[in-house]
Amino acid sequence: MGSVQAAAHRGWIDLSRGWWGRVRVVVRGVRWYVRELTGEAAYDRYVAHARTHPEREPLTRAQWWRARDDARESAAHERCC
Amino acid sequence: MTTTRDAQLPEYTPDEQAEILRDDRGVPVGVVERPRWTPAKVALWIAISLVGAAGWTMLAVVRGERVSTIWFVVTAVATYAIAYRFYALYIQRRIMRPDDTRATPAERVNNGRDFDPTDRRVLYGHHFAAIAGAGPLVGPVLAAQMGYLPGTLWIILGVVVAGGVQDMLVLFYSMRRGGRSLGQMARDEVGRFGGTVAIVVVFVMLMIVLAVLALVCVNALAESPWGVFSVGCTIPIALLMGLYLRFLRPGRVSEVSAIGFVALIAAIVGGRWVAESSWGELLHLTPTTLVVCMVIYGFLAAVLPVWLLLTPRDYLSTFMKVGTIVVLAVGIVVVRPVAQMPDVTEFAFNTEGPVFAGALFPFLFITIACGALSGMHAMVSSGTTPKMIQKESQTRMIGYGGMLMESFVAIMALAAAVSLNQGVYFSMNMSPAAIQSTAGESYSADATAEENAEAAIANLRVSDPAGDQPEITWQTVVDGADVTLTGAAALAAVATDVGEPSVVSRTGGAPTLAVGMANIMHNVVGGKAMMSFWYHFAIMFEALFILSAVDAVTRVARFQLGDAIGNAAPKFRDPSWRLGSWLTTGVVVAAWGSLLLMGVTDPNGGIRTLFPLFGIANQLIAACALTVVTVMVVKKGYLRWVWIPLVPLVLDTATTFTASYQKIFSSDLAVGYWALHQATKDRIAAGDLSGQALADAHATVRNTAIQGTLSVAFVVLVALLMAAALVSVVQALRAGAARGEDVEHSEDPPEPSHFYAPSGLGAHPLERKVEAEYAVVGDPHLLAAGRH
Repeated sequence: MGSVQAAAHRGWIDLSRGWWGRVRVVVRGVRWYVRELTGEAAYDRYVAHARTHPEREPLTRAQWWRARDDARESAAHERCC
Repeated sequence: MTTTRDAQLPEYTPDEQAEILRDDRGVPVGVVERPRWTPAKVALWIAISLVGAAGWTMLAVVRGERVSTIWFVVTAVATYAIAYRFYALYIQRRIMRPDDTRATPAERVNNGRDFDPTDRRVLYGHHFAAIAGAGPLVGPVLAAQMGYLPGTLWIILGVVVAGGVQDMLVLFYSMRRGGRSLGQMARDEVGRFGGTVAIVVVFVMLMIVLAVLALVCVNALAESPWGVFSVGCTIPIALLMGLYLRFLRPGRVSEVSAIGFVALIAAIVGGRWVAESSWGELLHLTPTTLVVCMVIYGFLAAVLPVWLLLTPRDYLSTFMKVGTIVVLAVGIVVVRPVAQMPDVTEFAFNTEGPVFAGALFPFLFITIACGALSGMHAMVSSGTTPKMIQKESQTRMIGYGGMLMESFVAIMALAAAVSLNQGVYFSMNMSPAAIQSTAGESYSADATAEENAEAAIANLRVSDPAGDQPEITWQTVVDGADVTLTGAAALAAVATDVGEPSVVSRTGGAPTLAVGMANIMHNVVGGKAMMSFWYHFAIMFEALFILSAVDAVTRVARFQLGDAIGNAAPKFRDPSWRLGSWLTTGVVVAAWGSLLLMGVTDPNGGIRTLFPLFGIANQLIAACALTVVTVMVVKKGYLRWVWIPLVPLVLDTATTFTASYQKIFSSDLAVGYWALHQATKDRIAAGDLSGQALADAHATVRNTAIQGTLSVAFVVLVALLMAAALVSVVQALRAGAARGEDVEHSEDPPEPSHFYAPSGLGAHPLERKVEAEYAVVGDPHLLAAGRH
């Protein structure tokens, strides 16, 4: 199964759209990667997860990021030469 | 649109079924594929081998003619592919034996903070961004004084047998130990004494590393108003990004990064205008002023909240890092510059090299450092990345694969440096003192720096590829016509083309790489008119690398110091205690700041005297990491394959200990710290020095004493660690490791995994099918967010 077929299988694209569908695969792939790398997607995952606990109100985006910043404050942040 | 939940389960052949690992509920958790050598695969690997062989032939055998640097890239990529597919896999099967039925620390703890299961492709990006810095860019540029061949050989072969092996093994063994840091693992494996030595060694070496990185940055920005402006702008840009993310649009990282990137380009473009305006003089800073700025900056960056400066600047530097590397790769492939440097120069065999002193063995290895083997990577590979891996089998791709990419960056930096005219290269990389002594009688205090550099190049005892004395030449455009200038006029034209007051004695490697990059890139985009933009783009990206290392490592060192003092005064362990964090940060900043000041004011050229110390420090951290890995391999009962970490360990010990020995005991004034120390003392005692010469002599006496003492301390400490490691190896062998028994007790007990993800960068067909099955039968929330 090639990557285009795999994407079609996941419902990302409609193969009948031809090259346009393929462009969309690439664009979606890049967008997914950038959102994951920067951590933007992490909040969406948190919300998806929080839905499984309807008894608790999920944090807002601002609250969630603030909590994340606070956690980073005391964490060592390795960088090399 | 159908969702994957409704999709049918994939069907497997019995052969495929046998290769799938499942947990107790039948959920797939791994795939162990047996290699299938189809004719197409065999043909592919034969083709890759042939390309690699052709590349090595071009580099090493057919070298009478000028070689295109495209061969560096081709040879490197083919060799990396073979090493990754065969050697790294061999190591994985022999002494790692990843087991995807075991949960990784990320899956087990999954707290949504540091233990954060991360998609392998994303983690590869994080890991690479954390390990790649200015080191692999600067080292190869300096090593180019020996010619292109020694550097290319070591960057490619070093990563295969040493750098990749270290990174991958440290990553794997740390992952098996809950992501423990190198210092903690040393304590577990080598005992309390060994662990303490490792922590002290790493701390002191971090100070050297920071001082030298900062020195590279200072040398790139000194006397350059344009550079000071554009790099200085990164601070307000980062602050604004931080405030935007905190208060205006929380979490919109891509958006703010795009805004930041545009602002950054504007700062580079606007820098020319500012430099040429009346403001320009204000930004014309001396090295000493820049040291003060760096120290203040380092202190503030380490005590300010991370969201305000550190995190947003990290976004900027990550995007710049990836962007610039892609740009450079495209440039080299499109332009295919020819190497202007001979394969091997005279400086590989003597100690007269003006960039750094010392012959090929051991100083090539010390100078290249990060691009082939970097001790600092052991700090990221333990502690940070291992807490984010989803599956054990992904270690090879992240650890070994990440280091291959770093080596590739080093190869490109080398290609950019050796495609510069040799005369320009040496003029840029000789300190004023080196130019004066090389020019000898032709030196004139009244002449311009360019004229003195021309006189020095004429006396430099090195040959060009044709075997003649190198000549300074530079192609430029005057009044719309292409001209080739020579000598001092050529150097002046380089400076004009890149928008700098002068390029003579711009040591440190960063300006050379920037001129090399601009020289390549202006052929792709923009022509000569864009050359100054490309130069400052390269300076900006190197400075960003260095600044993000300076503030991040200052913070790390501050935590380490707080922890250490915490043994006596527990309050220092509390990172939220303001006064304590200010005190520890102050100590850390003072430590590297004073070394930096020493380098900047060194009469013999800071890079020339300090860079060897930096390389030795970095390579000795690697020796510590490889020592700890060797102990773990023996304890695990893998004595038969202990040569895998031992080969790089022995190589690294040979180079670092020989280099240290020469630095301490050599009677050659260009190499030995103590020899120069004594000789300068004698000259002062003789009483024939006065004025500036006397002040310089006193500085030399002081600096060589500090550098010599540090050299001795490093080597003694690492030797102590090795002795302690030897004791634990002997104990392990007696306890049964000699018979191949597993006698280690520090790995975490196995816990079953319930998660599946493919192991390589791209998923194989069977892995895709299993992924599709996991999407249906697996727990979709397993890795979604923190546990509670």
